[in-house]
Amino acid sequence: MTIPTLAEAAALIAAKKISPVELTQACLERMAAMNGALNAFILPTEERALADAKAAEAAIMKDGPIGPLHGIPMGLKDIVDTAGIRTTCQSKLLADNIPDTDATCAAKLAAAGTVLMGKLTTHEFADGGPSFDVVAPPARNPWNTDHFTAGSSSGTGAAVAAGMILCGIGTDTGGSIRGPAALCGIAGIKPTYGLVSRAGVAPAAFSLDTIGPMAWTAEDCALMLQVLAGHDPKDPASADRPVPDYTALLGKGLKGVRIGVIRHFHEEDSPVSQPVLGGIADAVSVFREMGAAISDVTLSPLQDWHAAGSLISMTERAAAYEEWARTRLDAFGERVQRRLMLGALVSGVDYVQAVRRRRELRDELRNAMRNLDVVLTAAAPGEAPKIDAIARWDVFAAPSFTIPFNVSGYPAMSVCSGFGPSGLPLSLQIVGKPFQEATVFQVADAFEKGTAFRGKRPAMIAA
Amino acid sequence: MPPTLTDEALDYLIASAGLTLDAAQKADIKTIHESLTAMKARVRQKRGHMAELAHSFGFTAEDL
Repeated sequence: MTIPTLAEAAALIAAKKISPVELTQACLERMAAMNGALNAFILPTEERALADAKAAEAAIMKDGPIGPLHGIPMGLKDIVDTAGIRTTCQSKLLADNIPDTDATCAAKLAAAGTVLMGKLTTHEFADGGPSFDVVAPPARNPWNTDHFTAGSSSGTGAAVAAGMILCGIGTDTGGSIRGPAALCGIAGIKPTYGLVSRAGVAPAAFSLDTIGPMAWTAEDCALMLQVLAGHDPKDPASADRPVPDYTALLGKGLKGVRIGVIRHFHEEDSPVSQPVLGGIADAVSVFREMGAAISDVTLSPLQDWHAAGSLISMTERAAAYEEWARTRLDAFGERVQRRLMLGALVSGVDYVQAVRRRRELRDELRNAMRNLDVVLTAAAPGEAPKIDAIARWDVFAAPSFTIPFNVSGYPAMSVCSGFGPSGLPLSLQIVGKPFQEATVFQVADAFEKGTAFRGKRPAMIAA
Repeated sequence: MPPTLTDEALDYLIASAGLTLDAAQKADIKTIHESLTAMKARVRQKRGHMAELAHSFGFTAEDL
């Protein structure tokens, strides 16, 4: 069976041309064949998957699908609580943790009739990987297993790219959805802060954390976000506003859409590789040919955004995990130990200055986008690096292209923009205004359908 | 030139945070002091004392 997108699978299920059980079995076969090499799942749940698939199949045969996610195989990052199913956060500290209740996002996906294939590998507490000294090994990139997936939604990125699942949950504090989406060649969106409930998901940094979809295409992410979005009183940051139709603008074309390019981020502040640069230039040409109006945007240097986001992140993380840092620091992997140590060096005044800078930067982006619909920049500096070549103190190695939009809270998406000289995916980041995810999907979907990059899967799937 | 992080100052900060670090960890953390100081400088702007935090919020109907 070729690997359908979520949208294609939903149509086939609705037309009764494929059953959820057949679809799930095909995903289970790919999981059995590749998870040993990829470590994408820290805990496969085959029995649960088949039970979910059979239940979905019976319900669909009786009454038809309740929505496009009914019978769709998916996975949950292992910082998402699952009732009765081990949730380790990839940490020895929670190696035997079995939650009593589902996180809100897990419950919503279950209610939508999805098939839970298992818990997906992450970085320890969604931070600091790749780590080889935590409860399980890191995920590997299906395009080349010597290479990194990025993180921390590393297993989700690998599993979607390898066709083990059609969609999965990622979380994003500084780029943990968009990084793995970029390096694994899939689509992933960090929604507007507050759009998707964080209840039942382990925190990384409270004021930056977001939960979001990862899938093969932007359209698939839109279908998934439709289920995930909405107010939840259990999350104090949850936005109480109506949920729009995230597919409403798909296929509408880009005529008149106003696109800004934050060129200095990826050309001057932190120059990306030539292939990434070429991919962005090609994308801009595609958008222009589709009728979009293109202009340049100038913001504060990328390093300012990175500094504000990083100081906020390291402080909030140190606060969240302070008790364990004080009493069981050695139980964390070395990379997270180092991150938690940083909390000792950031004062309360440093943190407040970072939060004041955050307001200035957010206002700057709001003003810059006043006459724009989306802005573009890189999602990653190049192809995936080797998994053993990640800097020891990576937060200081180079500024992140993704963290500016955690700092601002704006929705941001990574899509595949081609392939580099090593055959690994390249990427592009599309950023919208708050709660305007439908416009982000419109642009991303038009790009995917106007290019041929969605037609290529990792070679290891066929091997 | 960032201020020097002396061993005594580092010990004080670590103790204040309630952490227990060995000599190798202390040496490791000292290697990034300059980079961290540069980050802290970037979030300090000429903004005056009236500049608000991003976290400022308004009350909603649920608060009433």
